[in-house]
Amino acid sequence: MSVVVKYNHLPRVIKALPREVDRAVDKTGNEGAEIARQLAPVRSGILVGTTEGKDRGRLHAEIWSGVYRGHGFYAGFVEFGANQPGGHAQPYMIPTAHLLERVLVRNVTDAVKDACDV
Amino acid sequence: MSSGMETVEIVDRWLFETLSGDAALMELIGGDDQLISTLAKAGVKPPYVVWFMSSERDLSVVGGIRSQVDTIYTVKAVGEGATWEKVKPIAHRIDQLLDMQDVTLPYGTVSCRRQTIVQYPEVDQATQFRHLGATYRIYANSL
Repeated sequence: MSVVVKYNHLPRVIKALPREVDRAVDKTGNEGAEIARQLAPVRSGILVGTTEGKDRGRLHAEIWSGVYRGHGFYAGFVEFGANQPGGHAQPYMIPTAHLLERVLVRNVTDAVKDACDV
Repeated sequence: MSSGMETVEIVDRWLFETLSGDAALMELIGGDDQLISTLAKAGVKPPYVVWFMSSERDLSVVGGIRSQVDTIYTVKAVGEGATWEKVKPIAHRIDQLLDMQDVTLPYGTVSCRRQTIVQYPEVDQATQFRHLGATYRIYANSL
């Protein structure tokens, strides 16, 4: 007598995948904000204080630094430079994004494994 | 395998040679004194072209050997004025010279692709300046 056992976990994996990957994206955004805060040039501390990760919905996270027309409005000038003397660029957001490429791959890989571990 | 300080020895050198070697760009900005690498020279007035390394990371293969560097450079034109008209032809020419370039040089190889446009105004004591250019992902290897 032989016994054949058939598993089909695919529906459960498909259901878990978006949730796990979304979590990975949010996690990457928060990790990115932490990296950016470490790389940001510090004079008054405003850039560090206004740099944060934001969950922008499904599979979407953003990292913000400075407040538009508010504290740290000059973040773009710090990143890309200004015409004024001493206004040379001191990039910190682009290095963060560059580092996050690998972090995102790792986090999403882990999320796919978690989704499959049903 | 790649060795040395590729950003300074290959990328910066290639950028200067490429930009300064173009007669059309030199005519637009007024000569290679208007090319600025990272820090502005004293007394340089717009329009000028400035580039700087925004980010770098090494790419390694099995054994931890560095195969090339993966860099992001910002290259932009800076001009005075309340419109984009002065900087637009300069930024356009820069893009023609740099984007989609795969070159082998005596001192290394360079592969360059545009990533994003960089565009913003600046006001300094009622004078407007316009910054227009792009970030480029540049892979370099010392051969």
